[in-house]
Amino acid sequence: MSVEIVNEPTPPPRPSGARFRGGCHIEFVEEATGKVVNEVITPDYIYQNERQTRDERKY
Amino acid sequence: MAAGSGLPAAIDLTITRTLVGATSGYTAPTAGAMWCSLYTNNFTAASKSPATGVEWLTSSDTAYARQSLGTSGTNTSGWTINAYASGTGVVFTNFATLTQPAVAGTAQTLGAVGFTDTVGPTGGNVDLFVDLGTPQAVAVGVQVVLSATTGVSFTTY
Repeated sequence: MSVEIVNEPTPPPRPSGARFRGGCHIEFVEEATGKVVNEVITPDYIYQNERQTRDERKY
Repeated sequence: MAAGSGLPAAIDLTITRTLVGATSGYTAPTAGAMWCSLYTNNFTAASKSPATGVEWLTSSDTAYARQSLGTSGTNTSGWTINAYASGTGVVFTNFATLTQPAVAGTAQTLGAVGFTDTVGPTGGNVDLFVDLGTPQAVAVGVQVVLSATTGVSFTTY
């Protein structure tokens, strides 16, 4: 008996092993006034949070 | 050079040795014994090497001191370590706010943030790092602040 597979779905990504990546959200604060004079969010930070948000929407 | 983040290259090798039980595997640091350190340049994705990172010097920024992550958080690590989530992995973030004393003496440049196993102000091992991509100027009188839970975030996946 043969089995024909029609419209085989694209398999989901299969993670293997472990990778580390990270990101920062840094505030530069003027001590005398408490004012935030600069702010940096690294791309990996945005990537991670977007992925979490997307997954929360999905599930 | 592309910005990097995660484990420095030497730690990649050490972790691998630990996983397979090889000599020169990882010796766990004392719980809560991690400090946040600041560097003028990127470690880069290409080399991921703290050896090329130039840490701020107390001779230049006289207020500079590595900041302890403390002993709160998950298993007294100083980190909040979340459970594994499908499609996301294990996310861990700084438990407490990390505030570097306001720069004193000479203005600095911030190109990378590291997490070391020694109070310093020099030496020890950098266990984790994040490059800023474009280094940022930090004027005298300005503090570098990583807010609790949102300042730095790593993912193991």
